[in-house]
Amino acid sequence: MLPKRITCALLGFCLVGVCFYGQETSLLDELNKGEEEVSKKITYFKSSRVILGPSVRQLAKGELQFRVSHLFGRISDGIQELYGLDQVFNVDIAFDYGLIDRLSLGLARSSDFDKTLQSNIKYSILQQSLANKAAFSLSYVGSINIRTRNYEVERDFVDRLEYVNQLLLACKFSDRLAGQLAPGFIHLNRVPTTKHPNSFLLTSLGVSYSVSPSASVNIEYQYIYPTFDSSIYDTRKNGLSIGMDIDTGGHVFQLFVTNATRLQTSGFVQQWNNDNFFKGDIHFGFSIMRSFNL
Amino acid sequence: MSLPFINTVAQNKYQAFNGFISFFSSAPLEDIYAENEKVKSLIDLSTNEVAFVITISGFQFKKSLMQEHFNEKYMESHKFPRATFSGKLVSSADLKTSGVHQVMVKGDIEIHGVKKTIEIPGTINNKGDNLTAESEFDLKTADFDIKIPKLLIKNIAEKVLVKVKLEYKANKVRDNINQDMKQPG
Repeated sequence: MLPKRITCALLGFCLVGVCFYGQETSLLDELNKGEEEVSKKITYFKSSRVILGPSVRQLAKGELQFRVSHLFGRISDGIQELYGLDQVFNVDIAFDYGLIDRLSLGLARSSDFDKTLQSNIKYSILQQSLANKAAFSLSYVGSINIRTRNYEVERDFVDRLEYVNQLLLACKFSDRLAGQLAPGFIHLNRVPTTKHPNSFLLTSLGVSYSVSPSASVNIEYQYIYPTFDSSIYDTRKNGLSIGMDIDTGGHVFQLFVTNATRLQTSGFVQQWNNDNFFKGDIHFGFSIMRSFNL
Repeated sequence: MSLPFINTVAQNKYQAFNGFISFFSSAPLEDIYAENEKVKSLIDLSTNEVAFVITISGFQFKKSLMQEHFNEKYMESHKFPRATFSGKLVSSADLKTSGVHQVMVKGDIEIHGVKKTIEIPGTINNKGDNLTAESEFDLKTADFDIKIPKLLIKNIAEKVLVKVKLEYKANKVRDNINQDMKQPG
């Protein structure tokens, strides 16, 4: 009766086997016990700009970003001017390229009176990917601008230069909420009169809230310190912008309203040119950003 | 009477730490391909049980923007950081013997918080001290509640080809304990 003996032995073994494994957790539980830390890249903002000012979002290595930003006329001009859409106040066209993961360089050209050409650098100093939700990111943004306009009166090259330095400190508070604090120092070599300041101190405050994985609502306030003549400085003219980011996969669309009349930092920092937000002198604007992988 | 399983050369528990899983989807506008080389898995040949754990953020894409969207929009890896599989190997052959064996892998796969029972073909190559497992199968994004907006239907296909290749090493320490327990009285 050989088959029966083997059957019994097998049964006996199975019982022993079952008893032993009955004390164990399942294989999957064993695997799940290990907590591994995979360094995840944290996204603070959907695009490389909060609204007008730069955000800590850095380009990947080999990523080329093309940006077109458009600022229209005053909404308070009414239906005749299609709430400002009939007028183009400022167009900014930019290319930014990620050299390495932490460093990107770019060029931007503004359609303003001076036809300002901006060369900029963004360096990610600190990228903190933590397991818990609060995370910080620190970046430096610097620009050297050249006013390329063909002026009627001869101008020294040195008079055409502008310098922008800004430190961007972003914090992610939760899955949906991120904020950025950006102090900056701007120097313009040439300003309209001797009463106008050449140097500016700026702190930019930005908040971004993700309403969905593809869209976020943003607010940005550009506070320029009243370090200059109070007859020229007007607190109400500091740039306040409210906007929305829509990420469609390949493109990021930014729609916003602002009282600033210039899109580049060296422009809106000359806040005497901006409009009064609470008087309704606000402007529609949009930015389209498209990334290519080179 | 000597039972075949007491053979000290045959191993039962195998583990893999840097297993390879890739997925590929082809759509009119864009091909999507990513690899994960940190897949963890355990196989127990005494029960033919198998388990996998895959960390979603471990999938590497060529385009970092694609990787970001994959994690944040589609897989929501902050909510569902891991994909898991737990099941059994079904085979007409005795998998403890060395050689290449065809198997059917039956079990529950959980992706994006959705559990689904699947049955896929695979190959186990038992080399004694180590083991190789390979499989290729299709998965549908809709089955796992992964929402693809109509705007991107041309970029992202609804069917994804998954390729699995893992190298396992015998987990000798545990096996000795098992061997002792299995000695017949």
